[in-house]
Amino acid sequence: MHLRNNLNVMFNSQNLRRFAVIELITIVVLVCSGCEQPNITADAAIWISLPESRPRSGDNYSITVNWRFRSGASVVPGHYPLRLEIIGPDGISQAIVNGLYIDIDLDDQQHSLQWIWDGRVSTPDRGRRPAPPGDYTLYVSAAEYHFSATAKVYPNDYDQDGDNISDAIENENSGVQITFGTNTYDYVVDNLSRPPVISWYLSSGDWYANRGTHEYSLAKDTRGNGCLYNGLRIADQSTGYRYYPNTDPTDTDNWATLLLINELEQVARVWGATHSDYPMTTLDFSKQNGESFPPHDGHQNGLDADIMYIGSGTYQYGSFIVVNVGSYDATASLELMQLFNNLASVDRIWTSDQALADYYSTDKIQYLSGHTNHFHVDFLDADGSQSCP
Amino acid sequence: MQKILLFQLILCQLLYASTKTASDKFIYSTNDESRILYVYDAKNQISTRLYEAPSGFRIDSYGQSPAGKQIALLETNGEHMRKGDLGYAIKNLVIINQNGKVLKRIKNVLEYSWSPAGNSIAFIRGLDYGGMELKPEGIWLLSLSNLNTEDKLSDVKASDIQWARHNNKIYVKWKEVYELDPREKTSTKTDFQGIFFSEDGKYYFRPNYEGTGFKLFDTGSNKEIALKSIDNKKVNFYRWIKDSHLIVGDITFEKRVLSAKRGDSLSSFSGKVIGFNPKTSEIYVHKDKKAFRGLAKSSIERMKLELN
Repeated sequence: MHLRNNLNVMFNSQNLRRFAVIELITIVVLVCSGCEQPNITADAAIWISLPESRPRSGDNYSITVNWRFRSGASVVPGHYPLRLEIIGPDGISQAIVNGLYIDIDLDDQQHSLQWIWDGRVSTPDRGRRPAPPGDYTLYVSAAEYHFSATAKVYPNDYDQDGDNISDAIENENSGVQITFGTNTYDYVVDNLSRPPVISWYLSSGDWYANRGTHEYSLAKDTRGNGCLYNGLRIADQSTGYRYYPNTDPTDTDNWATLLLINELEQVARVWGATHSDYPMTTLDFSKQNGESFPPHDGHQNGLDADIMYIGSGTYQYGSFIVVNVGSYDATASLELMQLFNNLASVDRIWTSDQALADYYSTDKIQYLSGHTNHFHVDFLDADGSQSCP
Repeated sequence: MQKILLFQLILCQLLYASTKTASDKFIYSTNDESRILYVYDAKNQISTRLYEAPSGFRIDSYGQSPAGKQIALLETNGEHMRKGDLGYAIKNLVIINQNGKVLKRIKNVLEYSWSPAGNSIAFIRGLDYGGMELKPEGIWLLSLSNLNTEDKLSDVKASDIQWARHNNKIYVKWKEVYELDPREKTSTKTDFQGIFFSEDGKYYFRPNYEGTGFKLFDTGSNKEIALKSIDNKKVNFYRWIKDSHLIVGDITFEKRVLSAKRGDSLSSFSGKVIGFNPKTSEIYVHKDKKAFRGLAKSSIERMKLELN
């Protein structure tokens, strides 16, 4: 539209304008996944190049927009806005990128611009989540030239059905009853050799459409006086973490909101990428329905996680690391805290490492006594406080 | 875990003055040396090493007896002992004299509190498995006049304990708060939400356990007092100083002198509290915010607090 307006100014003639419109609405449509420059002989072309790798759900997706205009092209050289849109497999627009510009010169040279899609789509209530696997349509336009391509998003290795609940969590919660609407359902793993689903018989129903929003898992009231509704269990272990029940009966102390679990697993995956021989150890979360969990003062509504500090020696499952004693590794422990700070929706992280809190604290990493053998992560309540029944 | 009188790592504890010079001496530990206690003589500006925990241990907390003649501390080992599949910390209550000599060491103690007269100590016996998984076994008393006898007071489970000065009762917290009578050996469940009472008993507070926020209460009505101009989630330092006045704030930085009666601050200052002299209402503050690795003379300021 910008170019057309410009042309209207420049060519104040009906014939010239018709000519220009005919030329400029030339649409080149190619399905191009992983390809380089298409075989385009036109005087003007704009197209997309996609990576040859197999981008997975939640991975960064590098999108390169190319353009080439020959001297005979019917376009006025200049600075033009570029519009990029990502349309999901369901036909719903997932992102419209504005603010990009290209300079068109009639120089017969290929130019390119790179934009990184974070491999995520927006959800109405929980922010952005990894894009479910499938074929996404990329639509680009500039100077009234258009191009569309199919960008394939592959399942990642931890969430094969792409519902933003890891396979480990789905397996862990097989058989857990979830109340949604007026009905109660079980998490169902119909075949462990295949990616488990929340509930196979609802996979095409309303609830399936609701996957990714997960609003059935709710923290209610406060962490110091609250309850947990439809919480899920952290897995015994997965990439980058292991769960340690300690003196609590197994699977009584590892319940949390799904949002917390997802974010904690994301932190663990990043941690595990560089510390594969030293997983972080998860301790107490909340009880299945939340509520009082003495001697904890918090941990009542699925928003609290206790994490063991990191030691400098060989990882020993269940062996506590204590601040400033023995093999305590302040640098590595801080690294893990900062991952939580950067990757998760954290309210506060509490540590009793006073020196660490003094020197490196942010508003979110703070000192609190009683945390010499673990640090405590308070997650934000994404859906706001709701009242317990 | 949090105790008003005991702040691990950096806080110095007032030597309640039984002598003129004692009021100018403070115990402290530095950020990076959590296994050594020092005594700082403010008058002569001299630091002396008082006690060093065994290798592999750290000092979690420490506190001077009200009589000023003994110091109690909790020392914890770093590598937990194994017990089947589980490991628990060795946690010792150690009582030392003013010269650092160990008078008594009791194993498997979770918390303790001095009696108001300073002649006894109450403690929670139990195991700490780490990660807030405590297995308390009850409350015991130890008289300084007979260090060989530990007297069981109650089977009540507790994670925190405080011996109140206003009524000589012992308050302990688990899920609820219990009041223990050390003479009658009775325990009564209360509706209180915290155990740290002011000197006159008119107020009490609940520490910022696990980030749930610092809360101040009126004892008589048992209702929370709204704190003006204070973000209670940021309060990780709390300490009664005199009558119904207390200091609250960030353990490292900004502090407020609070009147519980008003629920508002009387004044504010920045720095780390290393001691308070109740006779003169003077407070000693370490002003070097980021580097508490010792008590540099130039960094210590003495300030008179107006407590009205």
